[in-house]
Amino acid sequence: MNISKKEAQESLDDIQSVTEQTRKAIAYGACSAMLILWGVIWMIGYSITQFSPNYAGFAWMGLIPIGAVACWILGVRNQSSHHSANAARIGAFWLVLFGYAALWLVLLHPTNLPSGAEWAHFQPINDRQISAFFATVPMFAYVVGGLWFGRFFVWLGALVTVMTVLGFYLLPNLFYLWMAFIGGGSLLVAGLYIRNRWR
Amino acid sequence: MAELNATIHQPVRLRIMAALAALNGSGHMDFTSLGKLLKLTDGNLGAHLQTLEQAGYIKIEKAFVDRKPRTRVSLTSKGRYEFEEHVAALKQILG
Repeated sequence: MNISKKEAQESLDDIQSVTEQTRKAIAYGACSAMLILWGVIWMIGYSITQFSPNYAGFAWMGLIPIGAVACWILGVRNQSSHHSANAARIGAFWLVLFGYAALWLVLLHPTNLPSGAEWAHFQPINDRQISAFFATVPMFAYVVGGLWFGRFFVWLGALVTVMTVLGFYLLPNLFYLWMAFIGGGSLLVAGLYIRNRWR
Repeated sequence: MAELNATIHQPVRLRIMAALAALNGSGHMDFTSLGKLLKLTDGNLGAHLQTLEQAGYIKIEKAFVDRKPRTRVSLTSKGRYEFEEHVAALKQILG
């Protein structure tokens, strides 16, 4: 079988194009629903944290497990249509990432601080810092993952990270409200955009 | 020296093989998703899948999930090898 250089190049271009489309379909298949889910969770959780801080801990303790279980269900459902050998690795990556983040939260949390005036000197971690930290951890994963799966995730991760930092420094009193609408809203809009454009 | 594979080189079958090869390892895709991804009608996709299955390049599994029929398609190890050989042959032509 003989073909021209032009035909060989066209075939390779076709293979490249289909490979990219397939990887996008896998990455975006469950991602749109997960982004919408976490956008809504951020909106609810951060709104409660802003307006009813006494209930914030209980709210997040309920919302995070709901989100994790829903993600697992979405992942399983997506695997029934596109199953890649990488799916289990991606799930393990998220577990390791949040385990790592939780470990550093424990390591950095002061346990033997003196009381009184010296407290201010040590500047222990406050709730706003913890919130900003946990909001930017998944965004870091989006930026890194985007290097393989598409620039969309790089921009989304970078945008939400920049917005988080801006809100952290410029709107300390409204930070949680900012995160509810700008952070949660960005995830929600990104999920809807993917659903409409790439599915 | 790698050789071109006439069965795989047909444009629609080349796209099918490329999509399945992109799943890595033991990955599979259902019939409907594959057709949607490659913008093929059920009849066209089915005919090409049959050719690839007869060549031993893909595996087709039919099952019922929630009482609905589901057809899963995946590459065999022979199919992956032949596809990689075909790609290598294409690259050789380009030098």
